[in-house]
Amino acid sequence: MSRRSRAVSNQTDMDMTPMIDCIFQLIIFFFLIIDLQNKELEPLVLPKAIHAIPDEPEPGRKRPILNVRQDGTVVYRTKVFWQPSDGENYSKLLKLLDYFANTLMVKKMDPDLKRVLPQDALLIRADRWTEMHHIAKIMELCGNQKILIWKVELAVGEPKDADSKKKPSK
Amino acid sequence: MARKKRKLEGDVKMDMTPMIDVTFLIIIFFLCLEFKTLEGKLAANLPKDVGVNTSKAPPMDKLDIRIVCPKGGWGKKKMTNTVYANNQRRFELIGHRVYWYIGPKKVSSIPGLEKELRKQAKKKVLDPKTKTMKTKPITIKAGPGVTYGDVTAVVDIALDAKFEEITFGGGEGTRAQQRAKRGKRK
Repeated sequence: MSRRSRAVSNQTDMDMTPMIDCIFQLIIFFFLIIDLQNKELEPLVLPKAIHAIPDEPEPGRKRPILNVRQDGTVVYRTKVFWQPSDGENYSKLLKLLDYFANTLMVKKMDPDLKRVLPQDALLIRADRWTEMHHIAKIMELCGNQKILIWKVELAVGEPKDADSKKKPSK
Repeated sequence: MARKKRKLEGDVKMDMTPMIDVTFLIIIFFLCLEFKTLEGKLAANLPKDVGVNTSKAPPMDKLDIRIVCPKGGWGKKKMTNTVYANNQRRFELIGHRVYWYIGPKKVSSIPGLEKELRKQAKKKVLDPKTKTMKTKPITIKAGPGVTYGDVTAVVDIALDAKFEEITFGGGEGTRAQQRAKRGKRK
């Protein structure tokens, strides 16, 4: 009888090593994903809005997002594409917008203009106190003949109580 | 000798259960985390027919909203503890104020702006393309000293008033550029 019970206990012994390996791999994967997501979004204080659509990015898809700091510095994926010291030299930013329009964005024929135009929106994220002129400059560059981005989205923070009727404070 | 070896083997055996429990908890935590910050966005358009369309666009009644920052309306900078990647400290503007021109009408408060935009949204115009009645398209123009937050507030109120088409007009330069222009004139 005692011999039998020992045999049963030997069968339940399991090697946990592969499972632990898998779990650690998963943890590393999640850490990396989080890091990539943060690269797109600069830590900016966005203005609040009530009628904002929630921003739900498709996982794994590169998005055309421009971050504008308070001094007007334009950042995409932690790289600076324009800063105040560049003055009127917007060549880097133009190249980036060209890349957005012709590589990242889906293009479609516009029936009114009879031209192929990008159909995706450019997401602009700026600090609440960034001068609008800097954003207006980006919008102006979007109208370049090689770019022609015409859809923009302005990033805003959702108010804590989105259902409340409280209006944005001035 | 054989007895000693068996004893040692017994010592190195470890109970893995708590570690696996913890790792599973970490995985569940990451899975529950949504991989995005809680952000929203306001959709708007840019004039897509600028310099592209050679055909004449049918005329349509539009509503211009100009945001103006008056002299002294920029406010005072108050530095915060937040530091950007370029070692620049973030600031808040204290006492920043703007007013608005809806067409020729001047509005100087947010409730006034809401009221006026709701009134304007009731006036429907004929869309020559679709031959249907719709709200007037809005064009927002920002003057020097106007901030991103001022503009998003107007867009938010316009969306609340059920305006469908919001576009942006050209900017008038930064405060510094306007000061430089005034200096040249003198």
